[in-house]
Amino acid sequence: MDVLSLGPWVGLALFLIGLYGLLTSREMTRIVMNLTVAESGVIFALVARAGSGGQGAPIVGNAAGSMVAPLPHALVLTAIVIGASLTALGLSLAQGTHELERNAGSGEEQ
Amino acid sequence: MMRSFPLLLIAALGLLLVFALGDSLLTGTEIGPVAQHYLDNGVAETGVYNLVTAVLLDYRALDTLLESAVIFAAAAAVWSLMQQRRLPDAEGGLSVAVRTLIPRLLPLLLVYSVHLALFGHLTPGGGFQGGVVLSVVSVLLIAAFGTGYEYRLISPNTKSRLELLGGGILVVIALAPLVVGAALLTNGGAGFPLGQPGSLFSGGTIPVLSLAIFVKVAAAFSLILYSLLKKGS
Repeated sequence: MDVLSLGPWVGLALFLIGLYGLLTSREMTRIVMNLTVAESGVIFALVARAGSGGQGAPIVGNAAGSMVAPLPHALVLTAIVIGASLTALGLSLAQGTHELERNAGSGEEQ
Repeated sequence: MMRSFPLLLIAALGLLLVFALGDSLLTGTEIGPVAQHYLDNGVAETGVYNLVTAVLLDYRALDTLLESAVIFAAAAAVWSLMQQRRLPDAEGGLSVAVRTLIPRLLPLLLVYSVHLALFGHLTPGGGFQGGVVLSVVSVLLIAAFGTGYEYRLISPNTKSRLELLGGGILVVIALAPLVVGAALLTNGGAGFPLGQPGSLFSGGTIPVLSLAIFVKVAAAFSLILYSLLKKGS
């Protein structure tokens, strides 16, 4: 049995784990991290589904034999870049919320 | 009961997904007709060897254009959120070992990132990958010498101008095919010379788009990373 054929299942599991984390966490940083885990699951599933073991990268003239499908890789590349941007945005929002809460907390103490 | 509710919900969704995606995503192995078309005709239609680049910068270039708009929006949002924190730029950075090692690593990273972007249509790589590698240079500079040094070297204003330059080139190339009556972002069909596949100057607009994305992504991510790392420690 091809190891790669297990990939989509691993991806699905990661996606569900991330989703479970999203449902159960309340802290901003954790929400962002769980979003990343769920997203990694989708990426994992798509890349694993693009081909089976022994196939080469979708670059002509690089390797003899059959190649994996280029379309999932292109989709995943977009998803990774957007995911990184969203993580950065989420983390800076988390930082902003944290500072607001800390300022409100220190205001009450005084 | 309430505590296990999310778990039940996720289990139900998992079962649903297994049934819905079972044949296509989870156990399927065949390549779809669109991907098969790209595999069979990609080189003839786009003139590049790297078929992922062909999909990204020719067939689905519109997605890439809008993706770069998303990066721009994210960079602008992160920058404006972090702008409000009036914290001083940190000087000094990490230990002597780090400060000695990192300047020797930087030329390698610079060459590697430019190579990734320049040869993205022939070998694994592309503008996005090269840009992200280049933006790591910012992180290393901050780690070694502090945010103040990085700020003086390439100020955030320069980065945002570079990003605008990259985005501007993207838009100009996107609109250029309209002059001859072709659709937005058409490559070979609009008369751009595809060249000899496998050579550096091949693929019509693809290498130019790749370089524009390289500059844009490097500037945007280095701006984002600078904003996130700018902590008055």
